[in-house]
Amino acid sequence: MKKKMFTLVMVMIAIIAVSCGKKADEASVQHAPSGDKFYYTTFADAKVAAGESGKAMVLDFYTDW
Amino acid sequence: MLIDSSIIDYFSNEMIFVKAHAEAADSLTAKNYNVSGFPTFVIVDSKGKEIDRIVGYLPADEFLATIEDYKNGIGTLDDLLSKADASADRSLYFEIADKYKYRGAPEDATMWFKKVISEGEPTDSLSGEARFALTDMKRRSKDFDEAIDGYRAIKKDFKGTALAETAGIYIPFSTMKKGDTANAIMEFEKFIKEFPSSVDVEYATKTIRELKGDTLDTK
Repeated sequence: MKKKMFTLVMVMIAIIAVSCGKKADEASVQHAPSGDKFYYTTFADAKVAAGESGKAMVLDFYTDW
Repeated sequence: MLIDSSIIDYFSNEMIFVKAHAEAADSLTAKNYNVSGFPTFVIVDSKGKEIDRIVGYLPADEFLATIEDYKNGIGTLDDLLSKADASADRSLYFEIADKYKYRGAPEDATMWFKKVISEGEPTDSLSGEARFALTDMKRRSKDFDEAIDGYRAIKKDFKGTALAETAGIYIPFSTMKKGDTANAIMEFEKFIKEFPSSVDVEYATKTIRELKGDTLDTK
């Protein structure tokens, strides 16, 4: 019984881990530049891309005024 | 908004470009990088460590050339500091001071601006620019009394030059920012009399009207 419970918990953890990983991938794809856009719109997203590609970044700080 | 095709090509392939709203989603990022003026373009490595920055707009080709230089360590703060060790070039010291100023490092900026002045004459043109930059830093840190004294000294020492006129308008401006409306009005009026053909006369005239309007409202 204990062994079955343990196995069930491990399978559930594995399912959660895979689905979270998928969500992270989907998130980074979702916020990447697309279409005519060549830029990221948040530093967090750009930092992920920079970490993956090893590319340097230019942060264009702006305001509405 | 950068829309030149060479810019788009470059940032689609060579580097990552982020438009970071300094007062919304990326306000903390702007604070972490000590960004106080806009636009500011901070060039960082893939881990987010600053390489250097560009403040203000440049033509597209100059913008890309500057970024390429910075990526290759040319003209960066580190590069200039290494050159300063072997050089007695006051213009170089000024560039270094300016870079520290824009990075929000006032103590380092002050040290290098003072070096510019001490290694020249206090009334030569480069000293004038350095003195103005130091005074401006006082104003931006809301040390208005010291700033006003600084602007007055520059106006006196560089009488007849464009620098004196620029210092001249910052006296009433700083007085106004200090909250001293009556003296600000008087100083703006004095500026208009002293520099009647200045491009800032329109601003001074408009501001006097606004300040007088505010003063009347409070009576």
